[in-house]
Amino acid sequence: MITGSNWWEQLQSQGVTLLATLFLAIYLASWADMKVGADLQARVGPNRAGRAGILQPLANFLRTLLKVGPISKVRKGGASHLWWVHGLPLFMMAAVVPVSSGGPLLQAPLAIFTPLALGLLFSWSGLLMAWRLECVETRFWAIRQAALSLAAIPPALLSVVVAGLEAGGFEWAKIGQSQEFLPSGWILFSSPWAFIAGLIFFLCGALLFSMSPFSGAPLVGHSALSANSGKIGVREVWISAGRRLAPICWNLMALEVFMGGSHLPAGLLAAAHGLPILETAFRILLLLLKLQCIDIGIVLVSRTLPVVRVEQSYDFAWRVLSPAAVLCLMAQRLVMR
Amino acid sequence: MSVGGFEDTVFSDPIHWTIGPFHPILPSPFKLSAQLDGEIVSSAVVHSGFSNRGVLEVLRRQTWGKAIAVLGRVDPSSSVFSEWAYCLAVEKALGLELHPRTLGIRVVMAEVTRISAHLYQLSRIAQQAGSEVAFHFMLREREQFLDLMELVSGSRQSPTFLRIGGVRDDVSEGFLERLQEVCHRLLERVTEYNDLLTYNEAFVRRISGKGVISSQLVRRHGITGIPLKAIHTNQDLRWLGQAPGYELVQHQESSRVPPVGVEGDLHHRFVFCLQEMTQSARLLQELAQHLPAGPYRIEGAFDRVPPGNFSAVVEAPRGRLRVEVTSDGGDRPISLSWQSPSVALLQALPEYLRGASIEDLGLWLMSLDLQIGEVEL
Repeated sequence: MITGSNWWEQLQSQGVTLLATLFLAIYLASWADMKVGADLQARVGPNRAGRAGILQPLANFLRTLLKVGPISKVRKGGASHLWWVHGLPLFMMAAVVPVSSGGPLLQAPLAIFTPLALGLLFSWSGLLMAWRLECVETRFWAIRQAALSLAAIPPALLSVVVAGLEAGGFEWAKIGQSQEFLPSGWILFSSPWAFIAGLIFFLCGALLFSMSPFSGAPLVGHSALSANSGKIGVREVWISAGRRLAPICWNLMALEVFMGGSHLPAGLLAAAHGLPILETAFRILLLLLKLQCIDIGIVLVSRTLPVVRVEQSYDFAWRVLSPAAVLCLMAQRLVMR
Repeated sequence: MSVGGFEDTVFSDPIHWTIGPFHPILPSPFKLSAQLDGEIVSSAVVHSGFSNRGVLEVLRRQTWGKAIAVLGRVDPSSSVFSEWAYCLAVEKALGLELHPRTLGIRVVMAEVTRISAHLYQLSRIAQQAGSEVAFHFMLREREQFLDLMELVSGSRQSPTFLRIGGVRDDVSEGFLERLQEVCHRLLERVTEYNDLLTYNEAFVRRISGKGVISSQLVRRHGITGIPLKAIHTNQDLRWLGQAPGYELVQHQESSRVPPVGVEGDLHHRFVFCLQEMTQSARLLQELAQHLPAGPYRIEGAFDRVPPGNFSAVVEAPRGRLRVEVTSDGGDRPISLSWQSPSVALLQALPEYLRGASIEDLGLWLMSLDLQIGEVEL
């Protein structure tokens, strides 16, 4: 918990650390996405900007910035834009809370559900923005987004409940305390039900943020939201930024809830010699490593599988994920009794 | 009160949606005006005429031999077939009997082009299905076949290789060995395509039972090519003895592919296209081993053609391509007529698209392999 008179300084330093983790994760994920994706398709991938194209995400960011213009231009988008612009940082903040060693929400009851609610808000803010574009493709995309998020949230919620029951509470602190560094100490491997719940949680993230293979038809991305189509291009940058950031935030949550979070091994803690900076750096590195592993897995699946139709995604969520999550929850309760 | 036009799209009349003439889901430049009932296309109207190039007029101004250079522009992805049909029609007028080696080389060129065209079509289907890996794998293999075209003719897509009475050159040194190697590799890679797409549960579920081209639709619009052959396997001109050169290879009748969903649906046509491609690869392997020796061209000027109407049909990758030339005995045609398979497909499009969901529209359209270039001449 952040306590004492210097809470503002603590919060600032932690905020910087957390955001640094998130942006590093996004940077590496972007690079891995391009490189692993290229390797799968028998291509070289980025190899010009820096060694092995490691600077390519930076080059892409700068290019987009130059193409779209300064951030002030984004504000011309209208009221629905504000939802998106504020929804994303809110969701990011909520998602990175558990990474912190202290925070106002860390020991709050039911705190692990906050990111879910904000994830839904963020997903729906994209919906509103797409709706405002007033063309057939984007409106259909918006309707689909609403339906997908409605279908994905219930099983995600239930799987988090399973994790909370396993941990013995729904506070971030409880979730953190119940896990260890080794996979045998993770909630994911604590029981078969928890394992299935973990998988459901990952899949729900893919559904909620329309990740491939649940991304639906390519109509929208190709035509109406093209980066070259004037003012729509500005919004497209936000949408693509959101689609990049949101899954990483979701995976970060999944890491904290199911995969041991940033628990360090005893040896590494000893190596830090009680230095908070070193310990934080180790934690960040561990999180980045785990996030990269998950991201590579996602790239492998999403690049290989063909995209399914959107109603197939709904079916999958309602007919497979939700019943499976309910069964996991029931089994978990039975085991606890 | 209108909130972002909400009632326009959900509660009121069907939506009118127009895409094109240039849109990523359209296989060629044309305009598609669809009426949507929810997400389903209830009716569609096709507006064409965006890529007229006056090819027939240009052809009429060329001498008989020089016209071949223009034919590659009719359908760039399978230009050998335009050249072939045209040369056959003129050779029929001249009463030429071709050397066996000429026939063999023409079949090789045609089959290499067929595989390349099929790979291109399948890659576009994979792209629309969102399978990026399969898309790239197919384009990678297609490159090998385009390299083969380059090896023999010096050009990758518009070879201008056929001549009246023969072909421009004999096959280059090492071509046949390379052909065998590339075909062998393709046959191995088909397993990858099957893993990634053909038997992939997600892909099968997505396209099975969708985009059906029934035998009634085929008959009504005179559709040929994959949609026809997937339903009636004995409709391939190559094995009906109507395509010169195929007597050099063993008769390879297409085996019937049992549909997973409905007969003539998207998956059925996809599998048949794959099967035809592997069939062509085996045919090429056989021909590479037993290509007849001898001259590859009948020497002569052939600058004048006897008067009359002469036509020829070839089994192109998209279907039957019929070319008719009219001569008045002079040194250039007085008229040409092109009956391409895409005409029937374009004609059937409104009926075919009825019932398509907008999400699958790209898949439905790409699976037709419609090339507007051979319609708008």
